[in-house]
Amino acid sequence: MTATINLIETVGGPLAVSSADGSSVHDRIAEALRRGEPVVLSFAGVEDVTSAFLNAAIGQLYGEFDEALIREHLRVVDAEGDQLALLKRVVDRAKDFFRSPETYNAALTGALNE
Amino acid sequence: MRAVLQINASRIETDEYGFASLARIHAAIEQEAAGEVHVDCSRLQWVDANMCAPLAAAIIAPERRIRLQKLHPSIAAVLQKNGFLGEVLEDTHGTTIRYQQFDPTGRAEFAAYVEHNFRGKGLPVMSIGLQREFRRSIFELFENAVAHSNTRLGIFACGQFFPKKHRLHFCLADRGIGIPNSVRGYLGRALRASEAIDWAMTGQNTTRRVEDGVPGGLGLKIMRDFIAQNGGAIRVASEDGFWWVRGEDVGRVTLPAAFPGTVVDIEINAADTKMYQLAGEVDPTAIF
Repeated sequence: MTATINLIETVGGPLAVSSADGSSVHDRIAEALRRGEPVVLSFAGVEDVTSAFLNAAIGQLYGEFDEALIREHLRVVDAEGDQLALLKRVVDRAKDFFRSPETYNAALTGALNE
Repeated sequence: MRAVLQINASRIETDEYGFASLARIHAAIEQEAAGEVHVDCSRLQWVDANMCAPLAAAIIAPERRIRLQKLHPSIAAVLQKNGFLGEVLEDTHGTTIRYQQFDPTGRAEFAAYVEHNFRGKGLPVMSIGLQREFRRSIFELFENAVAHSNTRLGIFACGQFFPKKHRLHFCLADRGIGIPNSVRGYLGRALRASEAIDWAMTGQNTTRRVEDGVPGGLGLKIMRDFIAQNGGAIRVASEDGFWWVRGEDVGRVTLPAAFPGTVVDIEINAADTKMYQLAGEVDPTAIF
């Protein structure tokens, strides 16, 4: 059974901007993924989205679930071009962040020494 | 017993000198004992209205009642239009973005503030793309303040549209631990405040740790990219560090006194008609 999550209903309006709201969305997605269910995330009616929201809603999934599992089970619908572009950046960033934190942090510190 | 302090500057503009003046007055207030503190503003001839946010952060002081005295009538009128002085005068020019203080848990109030001040009001007619990117930046700033500042004295917002220059400023200040403290704690290194701000504003640097469970470091990067495309500017003051970027030019200096918490001012070119897209077309089936 597919779990459909309408962002506008979950966050109570067209603003998907706060990390607190993002965490609520994350919890619903994570619950469905743990049950092995496909998840459809609908952006219909959403006007404003931030990386803070998407990091909490989706970025943190990459610290808990396998990339392949997320790719196989999670689908986004009704998102506008700029929302998709932001989501893509958040996802790419999350993969880097969780994949090799030691390398990532060392790179940051190294950059400061240059 | 009443203390009287003086603002020595004649102008508080959105620049190094304006922030230095606010940092000095904050330091002077902190020296005073509990009670009433009067701040003599008779030398002031000009205040950028958006600087009301850091002004509030600079002068708010537990156990002290601060009174601004001898304000020039034209400055008092501006501070009444944006609500800083409590009483609100009508804004006949439609250039004011209200001053408001928020609790860190006041996300709903902040969303209502953005809705009221940046949509459907007489402020500059901006392209839909520009409005969206600007609003996104404002929400990212608020979330950053909530997530990183640990402020207990609130978050202060204010803005102003300068129609002759087609420049729209929005300023958010908090009385939290400051960017330098966070960065030094994360890196475990002694850094000058301006260096720490520079680190925080560079690339996707973040003080978030993997064990926190949520990635970070993208909001400021996206905001900086947008402001660069738009031809605007970002200014940040925290502790005694002041940092700014405009186009390719990045600058940082040490202020003569420490600004409490963090203040970020974003300035955009409101006449910009460019289309904004974070990247090329993204295939929704190839995101994850």
